Amino acid sequence: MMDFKMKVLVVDDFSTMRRIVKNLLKQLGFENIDEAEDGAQAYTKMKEGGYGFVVTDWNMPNMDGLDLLKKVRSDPAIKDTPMLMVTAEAEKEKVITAIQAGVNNYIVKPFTGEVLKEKMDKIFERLAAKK
Amino acid sequence: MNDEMEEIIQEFITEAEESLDKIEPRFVELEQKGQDADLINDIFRSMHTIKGAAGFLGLQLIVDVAHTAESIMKKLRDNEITLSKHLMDVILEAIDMLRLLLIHLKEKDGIEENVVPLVQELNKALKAAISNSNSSKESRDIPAEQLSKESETSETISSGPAALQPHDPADAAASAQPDELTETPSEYFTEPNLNSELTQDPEIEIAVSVDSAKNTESSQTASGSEQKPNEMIQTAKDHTHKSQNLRVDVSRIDKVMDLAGEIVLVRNRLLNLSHYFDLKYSDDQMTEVLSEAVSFLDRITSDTQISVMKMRMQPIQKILSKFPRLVRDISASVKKDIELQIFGEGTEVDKSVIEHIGDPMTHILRNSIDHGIESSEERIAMGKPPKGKIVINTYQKGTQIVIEIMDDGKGIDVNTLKRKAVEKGLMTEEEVLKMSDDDAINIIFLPGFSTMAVATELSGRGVGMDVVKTNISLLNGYVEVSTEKGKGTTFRINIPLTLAIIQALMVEVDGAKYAIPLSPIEETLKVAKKDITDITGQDVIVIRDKICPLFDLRSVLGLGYNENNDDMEFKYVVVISMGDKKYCIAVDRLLGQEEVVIKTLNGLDATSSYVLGATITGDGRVVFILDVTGLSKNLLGLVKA
Repeated sequence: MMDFKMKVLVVDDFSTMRRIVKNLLKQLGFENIDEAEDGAQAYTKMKEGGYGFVVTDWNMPNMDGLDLLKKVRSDPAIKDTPMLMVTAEAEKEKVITAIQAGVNNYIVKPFTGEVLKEKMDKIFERLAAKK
Repeated sequence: MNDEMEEIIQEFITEAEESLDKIEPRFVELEQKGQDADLINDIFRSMHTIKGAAGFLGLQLIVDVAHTAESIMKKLRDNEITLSKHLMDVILEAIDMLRLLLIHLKEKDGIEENVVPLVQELNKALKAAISNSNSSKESRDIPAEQLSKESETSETISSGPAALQPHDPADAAASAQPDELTETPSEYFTEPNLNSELTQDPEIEIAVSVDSAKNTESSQTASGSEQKPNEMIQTAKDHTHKSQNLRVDVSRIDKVMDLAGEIVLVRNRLLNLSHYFDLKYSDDQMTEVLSEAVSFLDRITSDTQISVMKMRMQPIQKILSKFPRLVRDISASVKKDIELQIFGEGTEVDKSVIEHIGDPMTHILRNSIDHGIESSEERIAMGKPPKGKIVINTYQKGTQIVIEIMDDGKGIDVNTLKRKAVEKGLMTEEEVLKMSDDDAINIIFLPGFSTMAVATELSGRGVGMDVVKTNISLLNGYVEVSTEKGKGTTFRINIPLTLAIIQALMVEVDGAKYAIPLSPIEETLKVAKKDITDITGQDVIVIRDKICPLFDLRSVLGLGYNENNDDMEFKYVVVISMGDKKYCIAVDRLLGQEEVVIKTLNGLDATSSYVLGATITGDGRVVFILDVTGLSKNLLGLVKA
């Protein structure tokens, strides 16, 4: 089961997109949602701690989603934060790179709340199984 | 339609438009710098982002256009194709189409654009670019004829199952969600076809994307808009989100601005009162406390005023960013080679300036391109570099914003202007003969002068340079022109930083107070009566060896003659400088500088009364603020006549 009280971080440089994703998350029942405009800002926020889940876009200025992912995974303090990557098209090579960098799952735009929920369920099921 | 959805769409429109504004100048840079990876990536990302968000909102037409443009940018980024003029043109067309679609969405006008021809054109251009780069790799000797044939065949192919066709079923499948990741991801993903994995649980996903595609086909019409995938976004019950930017209705800021103005007025009154008590009850301790409190209020009021003013300030970049494209398009249409340089994009100006300065600047630029800059051949013949240059420079100078538009073209021929003014019946032969060259340049601003049919496809408006002047004076600003034959022309626009609160010099005439805006005032002088000379009926004084016309404010305002004043040995004189013109206004007394809030007077004909508005001074009196621009125009007209 997902903990709807957990702090979720939505990372996208386009504010409309952040709002859309936030709305989908709210629709699923999440209440504690924060935003970041790019990877760099997201990383700073994550370092402050407390995020239970991160939904990040791939293409962003300053620090893109992949660099954020790599940076998080190599930072002992936050390396276990579950991360979902949003991509525009299922490009095989790109997805493989993300998998290798340790992404928990990825989701292709545009997606619905249900698909998002499925993805998140799968991530948390697998994390629970690992424990 | 659900309110939340409506709000998101509005936000999307604004954000997408901003994004397009940002990338448009990049194209022109790209054209100059060639295949620059950073520029291409910027444009790519913008298309990509717009497409992504539009996909969520079910704006299929936007998705289609942005997607095709994105594909081209991607190939450019990955160096699979090379940039060509044609490619640039079609991508710019795509940008224009996106803007148009956004406008329809904003206006809810229900107009549907057919994007298919554009998408086909984009695909065709991409195919041509691909085959071009392929063939140039294989052999560089392929005749051009064969190349064009090749691109034609590829066009017919593109209507088939091309990857770029948005409604292609393969694409729908691709946009469906791939399955979960297994514990051994790298193995999983070495499967040659990612989509084949979808067969595990494809029903929901594909159904979803087909369904949303169906919904979105009509989503750009007003009637179809309720079909938008509402299930995706529900009204959020709590708006607990924090964000750094807040979009606020301008009217609310203006209200605060208005109130800040009122506070300034009350502050001024309190300052006066406190000063009075200070003089009268200087031994009372409370007087000191009062003046302390009032001076604290004074500081806070000034800070409030500046803060509110800043809320309305935006970088002029917002306007400037559209000019590279404009210059590119106009110079291409008149077949001239022109480089545009922009400086001072960060200069901040009031929102109303942003809204009103675009048109006048566009006109000046168009004028420079059309009439100022010569063709490359002419320039070479004159020993100039073949490429013309236009420089836009903006900066803050005191409380003024200055915008300079300089070209290195042929300059304005004053004699031609004079001749045309007579031909058009705007002036008589005599009037023209009397004009100095400096005055004659201003002929271009006469209503009805603009010679060429300036209404090109870009503006669609058949207006002339007189509109430039009118628009700028609406902002309380003025425009000057300086020109040098063969070297170029400079237009200099001066606009006050804020329109609501100004520094003014308070003067007295006939016992009444008037406020003169401080910015055009150069200095104030005390002039002995014997130093005032009469030259052909016009009073003049000599200031540092220069003759300067002098006007009595009393007679200018039609207050009549007062002989008491004639006994005075001195006159106080305010020296006004408008552009390169200088003149003096004589007043009875100079009362000092004060910050005044301009209150517009209803039913006042500002053009004939020389009054800009009114304000309430520290002692609670209503005082007229003089309109120096109008005054100057009429007074200097008087000198010549």
